[in-house]
Amino acid sequence: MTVNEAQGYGRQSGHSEVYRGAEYQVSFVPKVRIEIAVDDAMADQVVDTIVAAAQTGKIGDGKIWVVPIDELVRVRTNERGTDAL
Amino acid sequence: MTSDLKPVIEQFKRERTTLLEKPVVDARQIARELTLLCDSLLKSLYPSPPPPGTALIALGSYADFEMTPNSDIDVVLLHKPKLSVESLAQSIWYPLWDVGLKVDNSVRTPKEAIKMAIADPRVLNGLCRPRLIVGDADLVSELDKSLRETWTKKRKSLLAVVIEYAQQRHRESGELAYLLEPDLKDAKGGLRDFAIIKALEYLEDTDLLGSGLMGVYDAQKSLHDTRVMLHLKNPRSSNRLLLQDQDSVAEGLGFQDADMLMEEVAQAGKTISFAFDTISRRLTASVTKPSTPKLNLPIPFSLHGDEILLTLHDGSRPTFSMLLKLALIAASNGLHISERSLEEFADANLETPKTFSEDEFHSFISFLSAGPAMIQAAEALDHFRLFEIIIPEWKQVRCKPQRNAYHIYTVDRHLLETVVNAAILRRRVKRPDLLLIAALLHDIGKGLPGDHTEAGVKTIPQICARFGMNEKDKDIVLCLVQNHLTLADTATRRDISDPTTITKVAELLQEPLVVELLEVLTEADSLATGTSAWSGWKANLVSELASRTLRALEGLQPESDIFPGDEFDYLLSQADNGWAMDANADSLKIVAPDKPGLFSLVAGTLALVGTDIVAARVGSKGPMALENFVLQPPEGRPSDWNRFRRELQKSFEEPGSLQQRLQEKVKNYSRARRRSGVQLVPPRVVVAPDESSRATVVEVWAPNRIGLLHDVTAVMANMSLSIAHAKVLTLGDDVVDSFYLTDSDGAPIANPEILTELSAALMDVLGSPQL
Repeated sequence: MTVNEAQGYGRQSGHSEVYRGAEYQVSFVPKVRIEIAVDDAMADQVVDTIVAAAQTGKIGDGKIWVVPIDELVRVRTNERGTDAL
Repeated sequence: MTSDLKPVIEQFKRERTTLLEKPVVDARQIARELTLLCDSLLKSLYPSPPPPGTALIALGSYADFEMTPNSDIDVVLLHKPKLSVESLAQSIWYPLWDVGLKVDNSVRTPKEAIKMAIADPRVLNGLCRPRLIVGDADLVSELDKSLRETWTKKRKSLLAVVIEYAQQRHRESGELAYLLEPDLKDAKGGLRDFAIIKALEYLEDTDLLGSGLMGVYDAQKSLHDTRVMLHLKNPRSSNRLLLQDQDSVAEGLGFQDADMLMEEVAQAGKTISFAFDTISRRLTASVTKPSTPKLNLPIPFSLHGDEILLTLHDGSRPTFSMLLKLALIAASNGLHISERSLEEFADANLETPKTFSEDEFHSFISFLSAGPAMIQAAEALDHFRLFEIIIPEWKQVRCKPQRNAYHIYTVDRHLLETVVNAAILRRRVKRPDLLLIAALLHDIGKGLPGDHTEAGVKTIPQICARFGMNEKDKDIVLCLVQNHLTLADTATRRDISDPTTITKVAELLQEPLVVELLEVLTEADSLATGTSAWSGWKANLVSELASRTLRALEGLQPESDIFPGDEFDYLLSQADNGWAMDANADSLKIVAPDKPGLFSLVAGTLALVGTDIVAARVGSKGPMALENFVLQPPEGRPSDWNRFRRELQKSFEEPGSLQQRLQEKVKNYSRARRRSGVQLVPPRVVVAPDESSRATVVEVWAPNRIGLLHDVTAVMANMSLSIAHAKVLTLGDDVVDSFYLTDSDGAPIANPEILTELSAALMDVLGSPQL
């Protein structure tokens, strides 16, 4: 698992539901970006766990996307595929 | 989204889709229906009855029933202080976000809204003329009253901020009327300027668009309709009317072609821009004491602030001479002309005199030489169609777009910009008057059918006769207009060290005065064309060509120009029968064993590393070929010569691999997409056997692409032709390559069959798409 501090905005352009800023302004909101490499079989469980932990029902809860990994190598041992996880 | 809102949202989506898919009859009606749909959605989302002390208000184009398919829903949830509105806000914004609509939302008390407006001119502009969608109307009245009171109290400082902010936007976005791809909203003269005028009317509580500025409403309608149609035709577009969208927008709005649309857009931009300038100047003068310049103006003119007025007494009428005097005083002192005075001139139905008096012509020349302030005065005259009383032929170039990637201005503005450049450079010539007249008229034929130079030349004698110019001066202006591209074209496409080139230019220009004038006109014209039209390289070539032509006209022998000179000696000693190169930012010298196709290999390898060739000369010493390239390095970074060296070595060792490596580059290289709507030059090959006594000149015209020069020169190598000299001129998306070719004996190509075969083989290569 890798965690990065990131900045971004989604459909609300970084505004809160009670927005008191100036017109046209788009605000970047501090976010955390988490990357997790898991075996296919575990993917759904990981997604469900994140949703359960992170959901507040308010804007800015974030997004999860799942993408396939073509190849994975553990550099130290040169193991490949799921062995490298 | 709660389940009871789903049907409301679904219905909104359906109706919006149906509306946007309907054939467009009236763009304005679509904008109105879009607005009403949004109103209806927001009313459904708002609790019923509306919570007391709250109101939802629309701002900007939404408030004005002028939404486009891409508009934000610009709304404020207004509420009384100390009222918790968080859950109310959530119940409105969340469904809008979920539908994917662009919302510009905020939640404020009237006091907070005023505070924001004072701090930010965009908020101030947006809050003017708010429209209640649903809720407490008293809150909107309160906001309205506070806003006007605040304006009255802080009028001077707020006005300054509003105008400065608009001017900053103008600097960033340019002037709508003269741009070939204008931003309909943010450019000077665009819809945002109209919105500011209306906001100022609201704040000042007065009618600012009186008499001379009435055309503004029609102008706004034109731009608004164009913007709606742009967003309907291309939902991904911004507010910039790009060349690629102009045809479909013109068709949608019922114009005959895109040029007609762009003329109307330019006209609308001029009208709004003029109104904006006049109103902002007048309001500024009402809060600050204008510094009246100390000037004694001749009768019948007087000064009011920085505006010149025509003050006629005794029932006398404005005359043509007065018009020229007025323009001259305004331009040479950087003053504005009162629009009422301009209206008086327009109402007088002045006629163009058959011949200008000496005094009138003198005023006109002084007006043209006034520098940058001349444009402002010319534009003011043009707004009331008075400039075409001075030159009736101006009508044909007025607001005329130029649909190529080379020019940045419409024809009329390009001519005025050329005059300003000529005025700045005029001390370099003996007859600045002729220079300025030629600058003003050089593209006057662009509104006429056929070749613009030929069409323009036909009208020059009558214009010059009207100016009262003598035959000799008339001939010089005629020659300058006729040849206004001669120096630039010859310098960039011909070998200027070739005596035949110089003789031909000398025959066209005939006298030293014309050469001197044309050199400056070429610079003034190129600088007014666009950023890519003038460079240090082109300036040097034009100056060199002019000075060689002058020497020829004075009967002097041309300066000797031997190629290759001794500059290759060092490289030859390095090459040692192999190859050697010497490169810097904009030039490359190569020596290598002479063999057919060497030029093509170097050109292809340069394309691989992203470096463009602008010119090349080729010679030989014994068994070695000596090639000198003038280069245009890749944008934003220097050429990678180590990589070039490796790639060229590979090209020498495996010549067949170059084509494959070029194909690879084409595949990987995300070349900026060529803009559709730009008129590309159709590929053609022109053989000009009389252009040189040393070689046969072949010109290749084609849309640019990676490796084009490599392909073209490979064809020549395959036919055992040698390139002695080459020039590569990039004009926007097109290239014009000129080659000086010789046969295997080093002589011009005498056999016409070879030339026919060459032309056919070249057309094959030019006709093929990107590798």
